[in-house]
Amino acid sequence: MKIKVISRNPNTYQRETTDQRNKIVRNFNTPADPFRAQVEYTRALNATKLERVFAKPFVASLDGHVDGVQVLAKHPNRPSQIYSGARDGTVKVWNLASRECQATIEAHRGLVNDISVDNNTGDNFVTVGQDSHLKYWKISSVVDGQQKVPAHSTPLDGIIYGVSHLSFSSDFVTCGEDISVWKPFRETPLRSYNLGTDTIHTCRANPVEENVIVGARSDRSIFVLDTRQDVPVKKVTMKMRPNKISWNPMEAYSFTVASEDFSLYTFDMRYMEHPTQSHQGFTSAVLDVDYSPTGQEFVAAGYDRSIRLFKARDMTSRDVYYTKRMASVLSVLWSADAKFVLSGSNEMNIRVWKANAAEKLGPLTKREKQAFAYNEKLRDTYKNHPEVRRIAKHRNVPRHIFTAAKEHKLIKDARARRDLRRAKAAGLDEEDSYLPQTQKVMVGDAEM
Amino acid sequence: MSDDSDIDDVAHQTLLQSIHAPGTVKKNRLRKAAKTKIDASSLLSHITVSRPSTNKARQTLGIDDLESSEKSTEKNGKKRKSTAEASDGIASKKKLKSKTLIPLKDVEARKEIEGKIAFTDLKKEVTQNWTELVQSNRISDQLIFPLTKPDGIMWGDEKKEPVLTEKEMEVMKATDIKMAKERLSQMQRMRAIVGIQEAKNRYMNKIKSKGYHRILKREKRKQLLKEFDDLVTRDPSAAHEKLAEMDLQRIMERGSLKHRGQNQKFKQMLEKHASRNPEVKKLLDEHLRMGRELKAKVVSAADQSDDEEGVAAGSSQDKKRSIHDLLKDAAQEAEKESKKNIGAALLDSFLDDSEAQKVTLAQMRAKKRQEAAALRSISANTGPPQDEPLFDVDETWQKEEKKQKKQKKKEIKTKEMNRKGTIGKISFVDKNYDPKLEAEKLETFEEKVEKAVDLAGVHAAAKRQKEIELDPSKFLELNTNDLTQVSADFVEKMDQFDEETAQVINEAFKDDDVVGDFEQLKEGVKEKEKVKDIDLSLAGWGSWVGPGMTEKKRRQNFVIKAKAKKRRDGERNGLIIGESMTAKDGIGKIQPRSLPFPYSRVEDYEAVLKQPLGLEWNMEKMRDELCKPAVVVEAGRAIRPINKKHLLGE
Repeated sequence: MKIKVISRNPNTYQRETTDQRNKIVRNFNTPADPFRAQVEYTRALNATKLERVFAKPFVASLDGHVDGVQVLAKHPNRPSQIYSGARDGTVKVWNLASRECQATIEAHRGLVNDISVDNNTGDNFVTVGQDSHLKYWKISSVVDGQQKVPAHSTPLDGIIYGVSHLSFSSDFVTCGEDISVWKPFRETPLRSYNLGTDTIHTCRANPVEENVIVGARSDRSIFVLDTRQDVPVKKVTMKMRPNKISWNPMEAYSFTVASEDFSLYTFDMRYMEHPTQSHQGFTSAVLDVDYSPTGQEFVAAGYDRSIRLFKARDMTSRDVYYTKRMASVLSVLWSADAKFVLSGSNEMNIRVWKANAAEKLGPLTKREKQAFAYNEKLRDTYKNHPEVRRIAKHRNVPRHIFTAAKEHKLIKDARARRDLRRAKAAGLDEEDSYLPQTQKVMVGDAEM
Repeated sequence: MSDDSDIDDVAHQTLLQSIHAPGTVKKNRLRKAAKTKIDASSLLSHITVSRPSTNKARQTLGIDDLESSEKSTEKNGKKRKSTAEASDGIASKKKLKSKTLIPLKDVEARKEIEGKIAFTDLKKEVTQNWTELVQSNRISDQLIFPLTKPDGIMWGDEKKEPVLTEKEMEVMKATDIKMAKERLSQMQRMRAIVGIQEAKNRYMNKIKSKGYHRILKREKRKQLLKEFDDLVTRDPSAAHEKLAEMDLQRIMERGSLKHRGQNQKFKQMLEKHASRNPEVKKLLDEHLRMGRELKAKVVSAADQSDDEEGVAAGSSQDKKRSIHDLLKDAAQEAEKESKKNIGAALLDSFLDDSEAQKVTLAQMRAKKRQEAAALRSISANTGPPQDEPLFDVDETWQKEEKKQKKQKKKEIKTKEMNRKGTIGKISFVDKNYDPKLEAEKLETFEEKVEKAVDLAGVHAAAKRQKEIELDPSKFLELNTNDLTQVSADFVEKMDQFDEETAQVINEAFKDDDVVGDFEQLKEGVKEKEKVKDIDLSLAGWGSWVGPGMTEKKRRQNFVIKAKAKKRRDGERNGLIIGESMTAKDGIGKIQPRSLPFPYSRVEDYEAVLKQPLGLEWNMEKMRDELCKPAVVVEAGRAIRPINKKHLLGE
């Protein structure tokens, strides 16, 4: 059916201006525009499409390591300084702005287990390695002075797997056979906590509360430690191994665990019986996790050769990044200015990605800013409309991820059906028998 | 002493037991060890610091009471020790602790309890410190990072002066805000002065006033003369030269005709065309000549007429003359050109005296009016005038009444009084109204007016008014009468109008057969949405049945016939109700199917969607406010975690 309408091109009746901005004549008592919703919906749709068109997240690759990049760390005050430790024991200091390697240190024999930078002055950093050494490095001498020897080195009788500085402090904790709290440049730890025979493979100090430490042991348990106490305060056990932990820097009591069961779990430290939220989407084990300094999002590294960005309280990932030649990702990092994400993978590269894939980098004019803000708001307002959601959520993923995801869905559905049938057979109804994913991942009750 | 005796007693008893039943000793011991209950009080005894949580834990475990009771028993029972000794378990445990190592399991249990207490402490502390902040951050519209305190101190930063290099210091010096401001204000002042002067000059150049320029010239001339005078006294030869120069300048100016006022448009035209096209130049010259001629004073004719007339006197004579002359000239020209009667009459009239003029003018006016009236009548006959209003509200009557006033003032007054009384004030244009007739029969005007007034029901109204005065029950009747009169004509006009618009619309959509197209479309939709038969026939299936089975029959056996479905739009014209439209491909494609997460009511969600965001429906500030980003971060600026010390002021 044909409908004839009158339309006018604004160029025919508006006078020409140099900057193409015409005076807007305004009636302060305008009747409601009958096409307002349609126009804005269309704009939202277009904004969503454009966002996908401009989504080119890859920024740069920092290459120079000759083995898999095991660990990445950032400087608390200098957003451009990045530290990376490889499996061959080298530590490199990078300048993110110029994408240059500022220093290369042969830090350890065997792989570098963890790196942590001083949270108080930011003058030095600590590395621990498979060679049972704890080494302090002065940043200025390493970067500028080309002095490749540590400021202090402590040999220990057991391997240390993790190191983390306490919030706004030069003190740090290490984990291995036990948990130790250290003061810088001392031969022995200030305090040690023996948690049993299981190895503690990761520990992270709370970035806000200076006394709280959370760690994971090889018996699949997660524990909370208060350095003012003699004993650990809480311990829970998961069904699968928690690989890495990251605290939310803006929420003193929540942290996220990267688990071996293809998911991440966010815990509330106060209620550890089960996680508050699960984050799904990976098709293989999750090896590392790091929060954005804004605390709104986090990035996780997958053994399935991809990294995923999650909103802190969402179940599904916001975005997934991958490239053709990227091997399994061993470490991730969110830059200190919250604009970039780094991933260190097994094939020796450190890749820099934009945190928001479609974001325009560099200075923006006022009008650009306004236009972007308007588009973002439109996308956010209309994000639940089916067409907009379909476009916004769609991601092309590599075949192996696609097929694995399909297979996992099949398995998951089958299990859900099986559980439902069992519940029915036991005389339970559907609602009673339903358990969310978060409540299925813990073993037994919480201890301690 | 008593303690020793106690232990001895127990040991003695066990020994006796073992003697009585030698095989059971080990068993008993084992059982005892397994059953040993750890006493909470003993585990908590080493915690010397009294904390609320510890106390609470004690309370919950019921140790507090036990301990107090224990104390009381100790105090009271000093006298009756011996009686309570053997049975009192607590006392025996105490002794055990003092004497032997605590089993590993007890240590573990103690650690567990300690951990529990510490955890409740920690939980409380963290909840107290952070819950509010975290919750407010989670629901806030906008978060700006890096976090800053109200006094501008960054939460993450330490209170340290940044160490600056020499270069940075130089840059800082260069960008000293005070100096920069001073410099800026100075520059602004300078720019303002320059601007004002420029504007003044521009304005001066633009002044078109002749008087101003005359004064300006005079001043310049005076200045020049002054200089010249000076020169004469000082240096006569130079003065001579100067004089020559001045003269030359004057000659040049006169020669160039620059002093002549040439307007901008003329100059532009000259530049554009005349310089290139000789024809245009010729035309322009001609034009100019004409203009000059026109501008030149008319001397001869005016003088002559002055001589001839000479009679009319008075102060305003000159003025009158000039107008008179002009008119005469125009008339003469007109006569030359078209030799019309009007022209001759006009000429005659001006040659004759003023009385005669007036007469002829009146005649002419009458003639003209007649012509116009005739024209109007023709147009009225051919069709209804488009611009004429449907109703004349009082206007026509007022005009006529004015004319009447001179003759029948009293009558009209009474009529007007009557009309004021009437309710239906609206009159409509009489179709029989003929302007030609009116022009010819001026004498019969009165009668006509009378007639028209009658037609409009003015008189009737007056009559009725009188009747009403007599019998008020007739008031309603009058009203209805008036209305019917109006509506009949009104409807006629309205019909006419509708026909016209219909015609216009028809013309606009002449070439598309909308109805036909729609029907076709409907047929297509019907065909598409028709439920189809399901053909399940497969090659070979059913063919073995035997004789009498044809291919057609066999096929029919395997076809499931679709049930004819009644369409919802049925046979209704101009309506298609899509049957195949499911939620997915219809409106469902663009409409959310369920209420999204944070909302609990549809109204709330709709309200959010109804809020316009664009600049077309909002002021710029409002738009910015509505579209502010949820998280603001600064590129290249490190964001540090919340600093507890700064925040809580420790």
